[in-house]
Amino acid sequence: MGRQYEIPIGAQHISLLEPLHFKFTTENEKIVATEANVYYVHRGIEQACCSKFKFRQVSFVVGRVCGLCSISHTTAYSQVAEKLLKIEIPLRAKYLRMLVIELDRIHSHLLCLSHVAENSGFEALFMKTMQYREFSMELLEAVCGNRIQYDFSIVGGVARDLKPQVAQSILERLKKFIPQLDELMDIYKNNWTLSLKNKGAGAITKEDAMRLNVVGPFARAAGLAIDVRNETEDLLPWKEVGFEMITETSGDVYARNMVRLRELYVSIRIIENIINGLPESALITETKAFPDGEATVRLEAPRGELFYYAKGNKTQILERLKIKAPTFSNVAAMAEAFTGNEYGSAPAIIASYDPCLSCTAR
Amino acid sequence: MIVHSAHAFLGIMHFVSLWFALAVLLLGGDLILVIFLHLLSTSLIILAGFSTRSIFSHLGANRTAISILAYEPVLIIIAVSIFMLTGSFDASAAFNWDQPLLYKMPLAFIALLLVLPIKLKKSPFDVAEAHQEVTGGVEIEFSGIFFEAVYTAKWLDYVFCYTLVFLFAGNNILLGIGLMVFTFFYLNALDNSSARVNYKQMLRFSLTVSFSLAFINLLINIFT
Amino acid sequence: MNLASYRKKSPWILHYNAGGCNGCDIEILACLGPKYDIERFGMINTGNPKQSDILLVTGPVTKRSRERLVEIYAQMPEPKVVVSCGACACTGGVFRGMYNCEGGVDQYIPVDVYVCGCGTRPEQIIDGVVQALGILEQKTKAMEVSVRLQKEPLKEEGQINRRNIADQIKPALS
Repeated sequence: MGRQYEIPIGAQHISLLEPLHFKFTTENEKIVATEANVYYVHRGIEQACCSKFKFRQVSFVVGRVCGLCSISHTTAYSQVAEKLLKIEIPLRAKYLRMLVIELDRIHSHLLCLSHVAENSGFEALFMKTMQYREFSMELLEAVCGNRIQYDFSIVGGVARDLKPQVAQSILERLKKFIPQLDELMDIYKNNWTLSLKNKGAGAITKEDAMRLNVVGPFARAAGLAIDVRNETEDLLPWKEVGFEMITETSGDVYARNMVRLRELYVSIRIIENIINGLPESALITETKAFPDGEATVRLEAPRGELFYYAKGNKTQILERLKIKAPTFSNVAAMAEAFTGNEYGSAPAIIASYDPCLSCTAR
Repeated sequence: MIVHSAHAFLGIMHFVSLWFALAVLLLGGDLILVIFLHLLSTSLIILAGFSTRSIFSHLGANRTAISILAYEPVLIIIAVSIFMLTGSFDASAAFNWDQPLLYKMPLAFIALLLVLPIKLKKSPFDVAEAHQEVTGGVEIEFSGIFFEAVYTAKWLDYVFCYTLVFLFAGNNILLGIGLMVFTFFYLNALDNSSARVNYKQMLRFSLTVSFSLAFINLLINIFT
Repeated sequence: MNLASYRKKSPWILHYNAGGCNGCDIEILACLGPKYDIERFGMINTGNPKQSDILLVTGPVTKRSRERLVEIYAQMPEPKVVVSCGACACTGGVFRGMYNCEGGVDQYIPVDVYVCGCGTRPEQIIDGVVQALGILEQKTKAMEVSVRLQKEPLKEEGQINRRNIADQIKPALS
């Protein structure tokens, strides 16, 4: 038994985008224990949503919970508010919401992949992935008017319409993107040094994933077929637009990369289907009612299942809003999957979890 | 700006002793002396890394020590091969030899190409400064003018390594320039097409592949 | 020419997220990417406060992360410039008044450049950082002046001589 070192990563570290703290206990650079501390970003959004903001404003506030999946947050909140108001939104708004969620998934997955590449010490691949990712940011800007923080979903519908020229340009850019995605797939799959770093690192078995309640690409890489898009049909018709479940079996960093890359193909297909069959209707359902009763909503964010609970009491201000973000479910498994790995792979493993702590801590 | 005076002093001495190693090499001095002066300068930066309390500095120093283990035997074997060919350890003997060393020791040149990324801290063997893991390793606690010294030492290392490459061309300057240009493109292509391996894999690769290549070359040079 | 005059050719960036929503952070990452390519100004994203010149802060400072923010700022060598990116780093933004954060970075550390927007666009970040370069140059000069005020009079053989000191300092400030 060698001497044990404690290596802290965080709250500020080059391989982290956001403040989180991992304390690894290592023996000859092999990790034997991990402590995670994720609540650096707690701001008190839930409390403010129930006291300071009116229920129509809250959809803009919860978008600021997380900049990467802000559309998932605003959509999930809008859906829960619509349940409380007991209104049905127009069909076109539903499809436009799905469109932006899938575009957001493309940009989020590519960001995660590039971050994995950078933390594996592969700067050129980071640059390449970031270069290919820019198209999704431009498309999101064309659709929503902002590169991040779209505020696209509002209570009752969506805020902007999709113009025909924009729809056309989305199809063209996606067609251009497919060969680039094939190229990325080839590198992530076949590069020898990257596979040395990624294969077998941060692995988790299917049983552990089930026991520790893992969601999102993290679970699907371990072979656990969990996807809200596969389960709910009432709010957004995912199966109609061509959703397909992607799973891998090995559960390591490599499998997570593969899940993300293959999900991109699915997202591209979904977007094409949506644009080709977009129904014409109004964009927003107006109502003068106030939220009443209790409701829950589940939605598949890029990182996994997002859960919203809200309770209204017939006033402008909600009585309670509860957000359970996907990373919150994954934290236990995140700390466990490090054990037995080299410290050298730890940054790549952290990036491959795609942790979103501002979601977790709110 | 400094952690403590010994730490800053060791950083400066690392820089100075690297100048000595480079000067001896460029003036055609003893190759063994060159290698050991270079070893001395690396040891000084390792001591500097261990002299602070930062865990990243310790890890970086530890990894630098391991990378010495990976590249130093290959360099020594290359020096011995040159001695077997030219009958002298002097670098000037290699520079003045009538035909390029490359023709007699191609395997040693390949071995040198395989250990250069370790020395220059390029992917896939940049474990010693691994920016995403140990944030620069030994240099993490240096700051200001002392960091300038450590950073300039990295560029001196480039000059040192390319001079070693030039050594293989003997008195043929055109071939030497060609080799340096080739090495430059090779290093950058390798750096940009590979991820970082961990230090155990690096050590295993270097001591099996690079070391045996250099050693086979030495045996060939002895018995022919 | 001395080494300090080259400082603005290669400012190194330190990025710290003090509790933001990641929006501005991914835009900073996009700046490092090929399209916006902030490295053409010689900037490298370094993770080490001891070697960086420009501190990019995002997010309203939460009570948990403010200790780290102040510590990182204290570890950076002089001269240093702080750029606060995004509406919530400048004023607190939408998070102002929430119980666990206070309004903005400038409550804790002096901020030199404010970059507005939610989320900040990469063009704005580049603009803010380029402005920070000018401030960095000014701060470098100001530091040189204080060094000169100490050193110049002692040059002449141990005797303190303050003749023409004002003339010597004037070009350094302009």
